[in-house]
Amino acid sequence: MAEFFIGLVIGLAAIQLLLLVYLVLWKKRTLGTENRKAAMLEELKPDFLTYLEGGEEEPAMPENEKLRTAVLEGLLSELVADQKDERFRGKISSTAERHLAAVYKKRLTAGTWAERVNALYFIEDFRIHSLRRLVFSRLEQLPADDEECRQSLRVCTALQEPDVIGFLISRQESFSTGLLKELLRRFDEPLLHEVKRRLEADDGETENLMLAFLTTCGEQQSAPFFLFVEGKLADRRKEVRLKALRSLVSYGRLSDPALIAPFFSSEHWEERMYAAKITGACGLGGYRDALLSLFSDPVWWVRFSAADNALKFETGPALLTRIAEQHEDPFARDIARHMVTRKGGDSVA
Amino acid sequence: MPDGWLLASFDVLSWLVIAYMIGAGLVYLVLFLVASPKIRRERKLNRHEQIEELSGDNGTYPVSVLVPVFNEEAGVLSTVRSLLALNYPEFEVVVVNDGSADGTGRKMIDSFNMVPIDLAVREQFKTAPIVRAYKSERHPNLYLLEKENGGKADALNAGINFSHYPYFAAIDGDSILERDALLKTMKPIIDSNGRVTVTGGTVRIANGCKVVQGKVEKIRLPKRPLEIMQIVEYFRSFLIGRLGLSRVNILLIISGAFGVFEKNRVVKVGGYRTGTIGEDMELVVRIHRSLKDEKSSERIEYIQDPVCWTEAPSTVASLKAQRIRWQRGLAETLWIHRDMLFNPKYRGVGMFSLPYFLFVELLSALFETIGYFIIIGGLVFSIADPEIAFIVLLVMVLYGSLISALAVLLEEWTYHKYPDISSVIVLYVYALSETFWFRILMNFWRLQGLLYSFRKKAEWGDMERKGVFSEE
Repeated sequence: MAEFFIGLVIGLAAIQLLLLVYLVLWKKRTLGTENRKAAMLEELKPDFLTYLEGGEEEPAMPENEKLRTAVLEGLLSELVADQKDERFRGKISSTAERHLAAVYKKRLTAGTWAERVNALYFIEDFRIHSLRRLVFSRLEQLPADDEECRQSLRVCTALQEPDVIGFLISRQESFSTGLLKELLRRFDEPLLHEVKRRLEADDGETENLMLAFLTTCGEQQSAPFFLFVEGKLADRRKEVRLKALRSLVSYGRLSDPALIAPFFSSEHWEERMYAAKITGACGLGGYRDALLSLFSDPVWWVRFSAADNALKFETGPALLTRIAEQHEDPFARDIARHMVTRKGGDSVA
Repeated sequence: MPDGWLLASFDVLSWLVIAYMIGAGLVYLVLFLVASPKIRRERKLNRHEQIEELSGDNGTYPVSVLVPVFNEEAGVLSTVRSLLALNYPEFEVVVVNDGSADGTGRKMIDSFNMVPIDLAVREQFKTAPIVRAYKSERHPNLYLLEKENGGKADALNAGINFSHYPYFAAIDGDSILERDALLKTMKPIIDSNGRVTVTGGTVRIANGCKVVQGKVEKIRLPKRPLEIMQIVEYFRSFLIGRLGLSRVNILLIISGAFGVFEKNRVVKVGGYRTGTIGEDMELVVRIHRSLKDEKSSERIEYIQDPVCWTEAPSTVASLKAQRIRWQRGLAETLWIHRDMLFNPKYRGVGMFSLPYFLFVELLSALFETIGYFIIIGGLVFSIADPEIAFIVLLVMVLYGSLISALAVLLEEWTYHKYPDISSVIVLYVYALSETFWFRILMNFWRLQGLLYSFRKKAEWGDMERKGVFSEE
């Protein structure tokens, strides 16, 4: 019996030792490759920058495909960040098309999961349009909760693939509002109009894409969709109304202040809270008394928002000081006192 | 005759210990096998690109970072600096000073230009009174709550009461976060549209590393053997244990050093339980209980990326105190939730996870200590069969050293955070030595903790801080 256990321990220890040797050798090689790559990046960067800024001759790239790909990815990633110039971006894109499109195509069709996802990240960053249809064609097979599916959607939207709108509408319940917002932000205006048209046509119960659309419009203060957002204040669905209210807080304007009057006495506390927020965001002095009435609201968040937004009026600090000292409701006094001194931080949107 | 009985009893006990060790080792192996496909799959994933999108994104949820502190003047400034430098679109930092007797509060006030504010706190939990609240004039998202001493759980509850955002991160005052820690940890919550209700990430030991202004600038090994061994131990715990449990949604521990929670869920289950020692684990078990009671599909998830660095005890006395406290906390949580043990209603948590923590994490100290007596009794005093005693020793090497060595290899295969080859070899050799000294120490302390768990008293613990974060 003892022999068996001796054998087991020695056997496992020997296997581990082999693994250790392998990992040490692998680490040595990896460190060498990393150093080579870093040196090459430093060396090529000035010439490459000149080339991307309008130079005629492309700097010579390493012969080895793996190293060339890694160096190009490093260079282009660094240069594409914060780069707004369209010509420059175009040249990055054409360089990537020339050197990387074939590599990524191979990875998308035959690579491991990590290789495919990494390829998708770079396809989006470098705007490799030739791979747009390939990425879209693979979408149907991917599970919605997988990063590969999410990143494929980011690629399709960034590259303005029109068919992806239908896909999003049919599968919208599978995706988070956060992801849908991310995707909508990537669309150009013509495709956003198409999304709006499809949302108007589909008045069903599925609302994820609608919620994301309303929020995105507000966050981007998108003028062409302002009236669409405002119109949703009258929607039958509470969530849609709330998102429209939130969006209008971001817009900071209303075409008609009377539109929010009913929300001050809504049965839903969230709507009362947003009424307070819109009053502050749009500077609606006419609602000053309605706002003050919310200082005594039974819900803390509503009181908080009322006080927070009262501060945005010119006379806000004096008003809050008076409430803190004289108001008959202790809750109102409490929140006003807090708000007078609490200048940092923002309330929950 | 009595000799015969004694020998036979030793034999039975020995085989029991052997069976236990093999069983526990197999559990580790199963957890490793459960964890390895995900580790393998994501090994070459570009981590930077993965979160790049979120960093400037409005789609993230705002987070309140709560830092309960008690006598943490050595490390609190570094911790707060690392938090203020976080790469996350919207967050606030709330430091809760739980009646420290040292200069923790004063240091905060002086260093960050903090001025008093009045409070209108939503009192979701009763806590010890808040004496004073401050906000920073320099950083609009930094707050300090000065409260009377009530324990760590009480301090966290006070922080939740004060916090303004729908998610909160609880972080120890002796830990620092990587710049992208919140992005990485919030990603599962964002991606799942809130179906993930709690997340935690891998915690690493910062002892030995070069830390400047709350940022780990250079990763290197510490000099003291005790500290090196704790690094190995963390690899084993995080890379093998937690990831495996998380994969099947039965993870019971989100490290107190760093975890992110959905505030509504925590409020719903009643917040941190005061008067306990292992408040972090107890809360997670209670959340599991509520999820199962509600038949909710929400998840508790652990991300494998190293996101948090913490200061490990560097002296025998502080390490002993920590281990006794951990063991007591574990025993207490298991006792509080004993009705979930082997209860099919709680599925994996009741049928696997809690029994795992009871038999493998809590009682292993008992079995291993019995093993030491068998080895000494058999090999030195011949009161047990020497061959069986030798087998017990071999199985202990298998269970203690070889699994830890495997964790070192796993770390190198996945994250290879230590930049030089010599560190890997040092860690491996230390892992092999674990059975012969470190584990013996741990087991005696853990056994002591088990005995102490019958006492009822919660405390912050008396860990001596060197302040590794402020040395350079």
